[in-house]
Amino acid sequence: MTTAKAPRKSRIRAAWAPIGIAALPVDASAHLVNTGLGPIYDGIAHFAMSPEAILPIVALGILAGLRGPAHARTAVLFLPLAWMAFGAAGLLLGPLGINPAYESLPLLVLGGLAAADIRMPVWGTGSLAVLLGAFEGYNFGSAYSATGGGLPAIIGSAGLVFVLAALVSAAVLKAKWDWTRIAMRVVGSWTAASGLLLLGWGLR
Amino acid sequence: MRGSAYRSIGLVLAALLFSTGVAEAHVGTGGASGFTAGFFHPITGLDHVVAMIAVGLWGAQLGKPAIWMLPITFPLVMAFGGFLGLLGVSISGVEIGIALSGVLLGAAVLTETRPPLFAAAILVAVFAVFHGYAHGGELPHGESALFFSLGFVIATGLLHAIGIVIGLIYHWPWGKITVRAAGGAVGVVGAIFLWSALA
Repeated sequence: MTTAKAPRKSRIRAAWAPIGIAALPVDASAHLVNTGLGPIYDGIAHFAMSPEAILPIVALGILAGLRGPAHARTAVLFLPLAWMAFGAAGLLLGPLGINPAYESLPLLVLGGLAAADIRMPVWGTGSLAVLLGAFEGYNFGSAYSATGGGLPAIIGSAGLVFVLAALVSAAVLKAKWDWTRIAMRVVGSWTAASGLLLLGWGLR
Repeated sequence: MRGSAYRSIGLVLAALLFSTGVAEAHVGTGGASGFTAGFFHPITGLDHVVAMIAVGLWGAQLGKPAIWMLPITFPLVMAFGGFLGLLGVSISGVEIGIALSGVLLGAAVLTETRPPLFAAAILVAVFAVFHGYAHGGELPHGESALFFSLGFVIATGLLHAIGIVIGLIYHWPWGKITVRAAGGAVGVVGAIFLWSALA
């Protein structure tokens, strides 16, 4: 190699270096969780660390529990099914371009209904469960659209959704005294108030 | 040749050093600090604290259904005030309204005023909007919005609960005097804040 060619090659290598470094893969961290225990547990952990998804489910559990066993059974059945179906849709279609502030609407609506102890037919509770499962499940599934392979995570999270909805509604169903029912309504009121503040926070 | 290779390796190493990613030592943080900030926000303002406790005292004095209606409705109406504050909707005389809430609610407890339920609810709701608006306008940027909101609402609810628990002694003769005296104290604090708001 002549001395004239050596600096030129060196410059070419120098030009390739940053391109190679820019192409280094890093973890896709779209609010995903890696437990090291596999995708099902990743999905469970992801949901367990998403208070914005947990709180509306607690509010739905309170509402269904206040209304009675038939409402609770409907909610516990339809919520995880809608979560899985729309989670799979989110996985395929990707995130929706909506303002994140509107994610507070389930908190506001379900908390408000629980606080008001609204009487409604069983199909009304079922519809709310499907709507909530569709909204939150789609959001959850779409977080995995970029990385792919999110179906086990959706199934794992749906399991925890089922357990959470069942536990909350069962606890509320057992609340027979006046003051315990009122305490549940106060929790609904606080949830709705937090949702309203969150909405204002997002829109300001 | 060897010098060129060293230069290339040095360049790559230098470039790698500068290709820093996002520092993720504390991923997902902000929740706890947001909750704490929200929780302490309403309880560090004496004008808010006395008015919230007075709502609980009055509810306990009025008995059912006011005792449970007020803690359910107040957070929602207050959050509506906070919502208006966050959106920057202009409401004048907020500080006067907050101070007046202490004066009037304290006076209601002191004099054992028993208006119809809807009148009591409207009075408390109007004051709730003022309190919520003041908080909404002061909410800081950079905190976890959900946790801040939760802490804020829970602290307000607990202040009501303190008022209700104190108010439960109203069933005893000595308790009546104590609750009325507490109402008087709230009224005095409200009057001081009203004086400073008007000055």
